[in-house]
Amino acid sequence: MHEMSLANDILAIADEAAEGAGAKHVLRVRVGVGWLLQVEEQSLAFYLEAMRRDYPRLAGSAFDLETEPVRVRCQACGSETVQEDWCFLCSACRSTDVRVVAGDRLEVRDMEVLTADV
Amino acid sequence: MCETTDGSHQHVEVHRHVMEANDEIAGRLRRGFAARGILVLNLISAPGSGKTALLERTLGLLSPLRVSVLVGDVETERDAERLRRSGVPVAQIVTAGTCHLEAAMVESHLSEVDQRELDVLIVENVGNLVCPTAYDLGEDVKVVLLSTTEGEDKPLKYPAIFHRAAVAVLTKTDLAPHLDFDRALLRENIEAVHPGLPVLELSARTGDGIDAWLGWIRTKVQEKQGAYR
Repeated sequence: MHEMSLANDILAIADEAAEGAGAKHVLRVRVGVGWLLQVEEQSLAFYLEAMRRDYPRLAGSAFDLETEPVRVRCQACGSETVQEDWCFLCSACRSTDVRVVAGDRLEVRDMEVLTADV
Repeated sequence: MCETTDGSHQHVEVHRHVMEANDEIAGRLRRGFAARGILVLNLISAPGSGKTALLERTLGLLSPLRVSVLVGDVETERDAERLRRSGVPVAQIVTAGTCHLEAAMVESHLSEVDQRELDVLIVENVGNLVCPTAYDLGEDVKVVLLSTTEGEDKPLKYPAIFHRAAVAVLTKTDLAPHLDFDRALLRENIEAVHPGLPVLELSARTGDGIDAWLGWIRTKVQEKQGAYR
């Protein structure tokens, strides 16, 4: 994967949100990593660590990378189930007519920030 | 947006999609292509699967359809030079290190092809089965290619692209007899990650199976232009 450019995009979004909230320091950023994207989390963590220096507000921040499992909604029976592997089928009725509803996105979810200097 | 938990410590809800900037541009591209009835194919494969060879064989045969190609590579104009020999407009996108094409790169090279005179825009992505999968380029369909020399287990190793593609193209079928290539096993593996995915088998070298590929493109153009014109 292109973890370096993803790390840069995550940092830019977090920094913009921190600025918008009037934050001086970001303590923690929670990132949802959709399993379908095949992001190498170790590599992403490495780049976040290395590149956060370019963003003073983020210099001391921790990044929680949370793998989000793939969820599919069955078009046949309406069930929403988590996929354990790459066989895309409904766990309830075994239909293969399913649509991915979660686990295909990389999302900056929320953050803990300080609005005053420490 | 923000709720204060103590004096200066705040919880900030963000919920922003990391690829939102790319997706916004891709959406804009898709609306533009739709308004002009242009079918857009995003060709994705490992390096050396034969994307360029297939296009060399294909481009001259699609007439009267008007076709252009955007071709992405990490370095050099070599692929564009090869494809220009077929007489269709070709623009090379040199990514200078980036392992995939992004919507902004497509947008900035679009002026090099005349969209008013176009039925099909083929985007040949950078050879890579992982990264290009995640970037929407405003295409109608992703086409995944794999060659007989790559082995039957490719769909299981790179499931994301096989899951997202609308058609799979097996290339270099002329080499299959030399490789003990197991077509049935390949189809079984494709079926595991994308039930019902159509598979076209062809050889750009011998021309075997090329008619079915041309027919698939023509049908897609008719579908698109029927919907938008």
